[in-house]
Amino acid sequence: MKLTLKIWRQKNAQAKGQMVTYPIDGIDGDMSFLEMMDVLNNGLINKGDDPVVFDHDCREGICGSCSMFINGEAHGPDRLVTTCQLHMRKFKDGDTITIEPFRAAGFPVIKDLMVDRSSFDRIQHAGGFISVNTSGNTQDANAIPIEKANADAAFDAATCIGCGACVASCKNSSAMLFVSAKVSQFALLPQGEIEATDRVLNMVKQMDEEGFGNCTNTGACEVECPKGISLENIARMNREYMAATMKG
Amino acid sequence: MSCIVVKITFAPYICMNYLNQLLMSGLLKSSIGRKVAMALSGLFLVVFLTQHFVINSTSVLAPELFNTWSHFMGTNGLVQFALQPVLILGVIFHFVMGFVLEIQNRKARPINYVNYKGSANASWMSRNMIISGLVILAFLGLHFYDFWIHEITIKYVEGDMTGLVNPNDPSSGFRYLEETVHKFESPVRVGLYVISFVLLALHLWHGFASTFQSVGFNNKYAAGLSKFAKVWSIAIPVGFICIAVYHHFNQIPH
Repeated sequence: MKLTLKIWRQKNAQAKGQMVTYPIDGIDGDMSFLEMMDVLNNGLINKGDDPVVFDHDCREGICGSCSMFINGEAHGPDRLVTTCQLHMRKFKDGDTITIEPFRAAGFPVIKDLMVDRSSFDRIQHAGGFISVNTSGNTQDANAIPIEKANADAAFDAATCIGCGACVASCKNSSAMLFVSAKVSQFALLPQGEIEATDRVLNMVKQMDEEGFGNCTNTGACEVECPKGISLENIARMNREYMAATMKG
Repeated sequence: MSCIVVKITFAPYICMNYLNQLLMSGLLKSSIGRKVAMALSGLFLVVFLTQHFVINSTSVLAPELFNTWSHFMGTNGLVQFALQPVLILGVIFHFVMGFVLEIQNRKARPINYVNYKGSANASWMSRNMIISGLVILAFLGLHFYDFWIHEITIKYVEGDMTGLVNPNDPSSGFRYLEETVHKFESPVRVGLYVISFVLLALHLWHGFASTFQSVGFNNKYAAGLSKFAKVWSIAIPVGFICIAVYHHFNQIPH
């Protein structure tokens, strides 16, 4: 498979970047997108050029590290997969593929396709946890009965891998889907109720401080999310937030 | 009376000041607060639009009733000095918030994508609320010029509160229907109204249905409610278009 890649190259956070065109040949349909990038980088290194910097880790769709914006969509044209699980068979011989970093004020570019997503960490630190003293008195996991529907919904929310595709896809760069998933996974469980008020207020405050945009319910985040996190979580977070604001 | 005119004239300015103070306060500082406020003001305008449509429809279905209701709405103190300012406040709040949100959202992505395929994951309506909103705002300017300023001038500047074609002749009948029908004589004006209502339908298609999501209503009834909102979003603007076209082709002689 012969392809033309148009890739965002940016030396560092301060530099002004630009799209650079790279022709590439010998790509197999069974390669993952990241393996195709590896082939490109091997070629660049052999020529003495600077390889394209991109985030990756597990390469099995669970770590949330890979983050490319491929042909106008986060994680490319396939649904419910991360870039590492996107296969080259999704493209045709002779295609031109644009590859850009996730773009948002809350995700500044570090170099090339690598962005700083530590804003998500700071949102988590602001309230995405429960305070349990586990030293010597750890409870059995099933000690508190939990309704099946709630347990399932909490688990679904917890499958968010924090990759940031929701922010990258949203025309407003809103982080509502990520934050709502993290709020929901606790809000639906009895262990999360105790800190529910502070959690949602603090996480939303941090989200706003990080410079993410406002949600206008376009639904782009849900469509592009590799884990299929539902918009229901955003409605739940809105309810939680309004209830928490009234409580003070 | 002049005091009332001054109050009405400066109502938008007073509203803007109030809104500015509100924006700086606690609730609207948060993105969710702004989202809920936008949804509630939109829902309020949806209720107003329904009432406006019901009254307008009588101009075709029951012309005498249209005159009676128009006179009531135009002269009743509660409507004029309580509901009308609330409505103006609601409209101003909604579009100012729309602009504020648009500016904030643009700031949230300082460098745009070279290739952004918005149509792959969201509807045109949801991605272009600012465009449909701006067309509706421009239409409101025309609509205010056509009806509101005209009414305010007759009632509060010229002091004619009778609502009659000839204020000195009670047998001349109410002027409202005749004036309304004459407004739709020009095909250009009717064309502008039709375009505006098409854009209104597109605005409502996304806006009305997503109101429920914004206020946190997303359960087993949400899908049904969303369907109702979408049907309403088409039916009401199409109804307004039919009324304008009907009057264009059924003119009352001058």
